[in-house]
Amino acid sequence: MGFSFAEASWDGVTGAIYMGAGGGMPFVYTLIAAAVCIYALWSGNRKEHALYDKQK
Amino acid sequence: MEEQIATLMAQIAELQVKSNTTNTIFAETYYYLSIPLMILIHAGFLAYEMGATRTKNVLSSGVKNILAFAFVLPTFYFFGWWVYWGFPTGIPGAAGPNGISGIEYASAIAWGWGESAQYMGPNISDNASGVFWGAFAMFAATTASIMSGALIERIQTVGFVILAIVLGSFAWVVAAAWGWHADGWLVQKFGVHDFGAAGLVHAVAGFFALGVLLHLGPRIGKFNDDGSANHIAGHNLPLTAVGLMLIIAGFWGFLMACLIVPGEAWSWFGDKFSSIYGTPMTLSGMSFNILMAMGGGTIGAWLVTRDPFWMMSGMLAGIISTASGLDIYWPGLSFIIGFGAGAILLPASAVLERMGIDDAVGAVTVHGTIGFLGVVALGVFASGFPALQGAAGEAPTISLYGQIIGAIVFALLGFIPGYIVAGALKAMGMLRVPEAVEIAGLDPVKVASAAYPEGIPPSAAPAE
Repeated sequence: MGFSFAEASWDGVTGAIYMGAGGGMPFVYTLIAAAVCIYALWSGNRKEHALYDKQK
Repeated sequence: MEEQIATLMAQIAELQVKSNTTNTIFAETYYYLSIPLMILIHAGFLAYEMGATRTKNVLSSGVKNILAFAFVLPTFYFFGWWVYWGFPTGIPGAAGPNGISGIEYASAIAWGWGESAQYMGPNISDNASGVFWGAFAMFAATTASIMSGALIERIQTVGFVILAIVLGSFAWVVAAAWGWHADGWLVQKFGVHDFGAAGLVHAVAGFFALGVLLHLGPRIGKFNDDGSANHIAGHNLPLTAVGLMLIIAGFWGFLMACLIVPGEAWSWFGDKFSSIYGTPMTLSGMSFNILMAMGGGTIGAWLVTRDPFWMMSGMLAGIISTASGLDIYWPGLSFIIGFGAGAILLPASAVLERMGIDDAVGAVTVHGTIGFLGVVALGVFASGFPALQGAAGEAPTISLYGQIIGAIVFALLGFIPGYIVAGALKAMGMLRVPEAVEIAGLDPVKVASAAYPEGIPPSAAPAE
């Protein structure tokens, strides 16, 4: 994603310094992270119930 | 009027003195408090290792873990601190471009005798040397603890302590001099950036352990004749899980000590924190990234394993995989990288097992493999970031190529000394305990006390 400032120097840099600041990728990554959490809960719930059903 | 001005000037001077004193004492207290937090790492490793050990070996595991800590501290004082300051430009090297490295500089501040002794003991004018040294000594002890778990249940105590000294007071220190110092040649020439020491602590320690494991061999009963592996369960998984959580708590002290406080003569900035390289950062930004990486790593490991041991290891792997860039990652990306690290732990550990390597607690995987990948991952996402202070075109920048070079150097700095010293100890009969002792148990043979003198009562039968 690279350095968000015009020159490759920390001189005078202020504000957001994370990679991709000012661009669209941070939002994409946040969305992916949220989707991973939702998938993990869905998958976990399926496996948990499969184990309960096996016990019955 | 003149009197009023003189009074105001005197008050300003007094305020400046008070402000400077406050900053100095804050800086000293900041690093001082990171030390007990980092000792939590050792409380954690102690619990983690002892829980992962069978009852017949549990106190021996504890003894060797505690002794590694105890011996790394004085040896880091005797020569490890000198290595950090003396080696950045070579083995050892000349003074570096920032004037804070080289044989002459190291000899002026890091020996416990002569002129430099004034910086290695109580000195009313020095509020920094001891707490810096202390924080670094804790990093050193951490490397030895990382190695310790991989080798449980069959290593000799003194042989292990020698390995711990080589790793904790030399091998990782060379890696830090080269890659975690503004004058370090890996930083100056290749822009290597490893803010939270994923490579220079974790990968070095993990690959050192691998070098030792190749000589040490697996525990008796770990592998069958056909090469398949048996799981040797530790006697107390809850203790192991709590131990890992303590390591996580202590990790915050480790990461906090990776920053340089502002406003002192030795600080990079007057008004902001920086990494050890002098690049600006905040505790606030780092907090976002550590916590997101922790969550991601745990969830990744849970999805793949459903096992609390691997889940807690996943939490650790999440932090290690993002440690190199905790100062500059976007938190959502930290979560994703951590998640990936947690998810690959068990498969990566299985690869080692298929090669006939018995890493009892997954230390080579969690620290070696994940530390290596963490250094490289930063090169994928942070290419172009300046690695040091300086004007555009003068300061080196982070690159994938540079991070790969750094990761390889760190891995070799761990593996080569681990393999060579373990081989020498094996030749001298100081590496592995005799087979009869391993079968009988290390505790009955070499520990004066018993871990569970009344035994461990079984669970009560459920009520009808």
